[in-house]
Amino acid sequence: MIIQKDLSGLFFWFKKSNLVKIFKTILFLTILLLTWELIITKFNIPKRIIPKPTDLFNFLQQEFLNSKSTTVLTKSIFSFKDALIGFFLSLLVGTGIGITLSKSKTVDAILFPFLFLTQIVPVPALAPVLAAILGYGQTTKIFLIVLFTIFPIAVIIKNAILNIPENYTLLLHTYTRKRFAIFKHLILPSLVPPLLSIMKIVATSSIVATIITELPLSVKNGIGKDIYNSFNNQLIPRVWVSVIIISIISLLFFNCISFFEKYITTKYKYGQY
Amino acid sequence: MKQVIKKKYTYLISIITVIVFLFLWEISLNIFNISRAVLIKPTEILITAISEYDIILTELFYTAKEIILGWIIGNSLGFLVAIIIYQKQNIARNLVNTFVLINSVPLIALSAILGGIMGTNIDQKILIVSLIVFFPMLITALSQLTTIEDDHKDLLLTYSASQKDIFKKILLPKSLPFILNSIKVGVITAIFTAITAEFFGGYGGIGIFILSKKGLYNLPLVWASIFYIAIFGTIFYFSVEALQKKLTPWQKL
Amino acid sequence: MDNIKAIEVKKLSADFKGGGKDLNVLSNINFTISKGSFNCIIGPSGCGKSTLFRLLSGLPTRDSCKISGSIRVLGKKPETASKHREIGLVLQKPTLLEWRDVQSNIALPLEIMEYTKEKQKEKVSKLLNLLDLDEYSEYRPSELSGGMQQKVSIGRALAYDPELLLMDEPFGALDEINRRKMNNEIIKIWRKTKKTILFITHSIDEAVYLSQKVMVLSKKPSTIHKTINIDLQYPREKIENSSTYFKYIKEVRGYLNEASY
Repeated sequence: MIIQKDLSGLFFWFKKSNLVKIFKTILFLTILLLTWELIITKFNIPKRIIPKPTDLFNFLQQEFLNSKSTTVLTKSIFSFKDALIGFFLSLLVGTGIGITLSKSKTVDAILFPFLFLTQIVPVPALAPVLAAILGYGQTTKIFLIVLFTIFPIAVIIKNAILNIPENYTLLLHTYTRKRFAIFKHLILPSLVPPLLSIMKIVATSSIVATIITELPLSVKNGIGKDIYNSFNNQLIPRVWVSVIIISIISLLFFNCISFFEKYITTKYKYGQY
Repeated sequence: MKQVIKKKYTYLISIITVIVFLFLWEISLNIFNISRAVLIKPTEILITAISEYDIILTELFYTAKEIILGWIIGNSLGFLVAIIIYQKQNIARNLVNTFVLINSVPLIALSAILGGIMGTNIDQKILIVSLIVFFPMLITALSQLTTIEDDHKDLLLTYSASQKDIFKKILLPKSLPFILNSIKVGVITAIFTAITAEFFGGYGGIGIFILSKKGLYNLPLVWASIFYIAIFGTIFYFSVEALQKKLTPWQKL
Repeated sequence: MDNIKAIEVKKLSADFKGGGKDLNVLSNINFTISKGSFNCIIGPSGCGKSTLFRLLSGLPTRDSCKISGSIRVLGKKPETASKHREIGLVLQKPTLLEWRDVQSNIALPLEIMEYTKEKQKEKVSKLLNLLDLDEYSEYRPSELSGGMQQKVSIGRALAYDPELLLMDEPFGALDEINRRKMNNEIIKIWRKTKKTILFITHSIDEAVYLSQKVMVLSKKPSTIHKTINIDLQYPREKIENSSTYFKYIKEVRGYLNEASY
């Protein structure tokens, strides 16, 4: 059986079927924008309800040609930076907790109520009380992002470790008694598939969390707070542009993680039993 | 029998841990002399919760409507759309990817956009909760309905089963655990979505309540609100889990 | 004695086209199976056993599969025979539905074929009785061992009373003792129900123990290398240590070795 070798790396983008896909998307978007513009103009819908694409472009022009220090773009990147910190921290701590949970059912029972609470107490409501303890700075925000995203990570890691087939554990035990060696050669690789699959979800949740927490914490440089302010000041084109920018950032982040996942799972077979 | 004892044992440990934690929390405030502006005692939270129950619960009731209605609509529509789409196998696969991409975007930001279009009334909140619950449900249901084990497919072909048979007897029961799990997770999503959506403005609800009172640094009231939200969320979540256990007795939860 | 053979295969060839290469899997296969007989097909790994199995069962093969020659099951094309509910399949894995208990798993084909509730109950209880599964009727698959699950899947295959039972290495995952137990079970079922059975296996011992006729398949492109008639009495538990038995084992092994090179 001959397996078609896929073009990899940068050449991925120049494959014919991908170019066709990209062209189709661009065409679709252009048609969408034109229809949108026409409908708004025809029915005279006011700017404050739904802005036209030209309104959005006008706003973009104003925003970037006035060379202010903080634009919606810089604010989005600022929020993204916080999301990224939360993302990595959450994966790290979540994995640690997951490994701890897998060690014994008692530890699991002890930690479970707290983990469950991180899910059931909504993060936006928790923000003010946490801010009273930790202040209104970046620490609280990151802490909240981690709280928001940590539960699924811990659960998936715990289950992955508990599901390592027994024969592999027994095999490793015949080679060594050192717990660290078993950890390095068996547990760590088996964490790779669950982490890769949960990474995509955490990518989105961390960005959602950063926006959510910026509202009660009044983070001036964040895009969440900016959207809030512009919404209250009826600067609707600004709202739309901000939402579009942060959505694009989120999409790109998600796609990078997906790509990374595909790359690792096809090239290396870590943790696949 | 052993498993039942183990389960009860873990519940006991969890409860004891929470009690110990609350106890330590209560005591440490006295020992370390922590200011009331930073952290308050659990007993004080409880007292506030009892004395202010009517205000808090009224607001919570408003939000609960947003949460529950949005959750019902989002999940039902997600499932229905999945049933409509799954039969066209070739398009369905590509659509799942599109929906995953849509879901990777912070849809919560749409609160502001929808708020501009329809105002910040309760319908807008229900709409946004439905939207955010809709996509994960659609993705789960659709991916489950478009996959079937080869062996199952072969067996049903030998029985000359119709598409309806395959759906009723194989696809639906097989997807049920995943769909119910998505519904359960949807409870959590619905709760934080409703509260965040309220931050953008509205006519009532516990989110607006917290944001306003917070300005006054009324920490006990915020804690009390959290207390009630947690109780509501826990009851809601575990009710869905109980339903899950009843409908899928063959799954180990 | 009616003349219709249970299976009649003439000059069967199967080719797979794909990836620029033509793969000739089966080549000029000819054999007949008479009604009520127990037959085995044995062959080296990678010979077209599964392809042959799929073609006989009337299941669709990959699009790239080109077939020439003829297959007749009870005088009809396999797809037609399947539609007429004359073929029962037992696969390598039990493939039971985990959300149904034993009796509803057996009843699955009956539900789809729209038997009445009373008929379903009647047939299911007969099968539970035949397979000694009465006490397990409300167990779930996850509560049963592999061998028991396969028994249930055999019950399911027999539910609608097909004339022909096609079995693809059903006991391959079991250990020696349980495999032998299941072998005795299937012989018991065969003698009671008088079905025609075509059994694919890897194991020489199983082929000799179970069948009246063993067909040795060669490696790709596969033909029937040799057909061996096993002339032993049933039940064979008593004679499995006899010299005649070992003679057959040696014979089959010899031909299998030839077929593998």
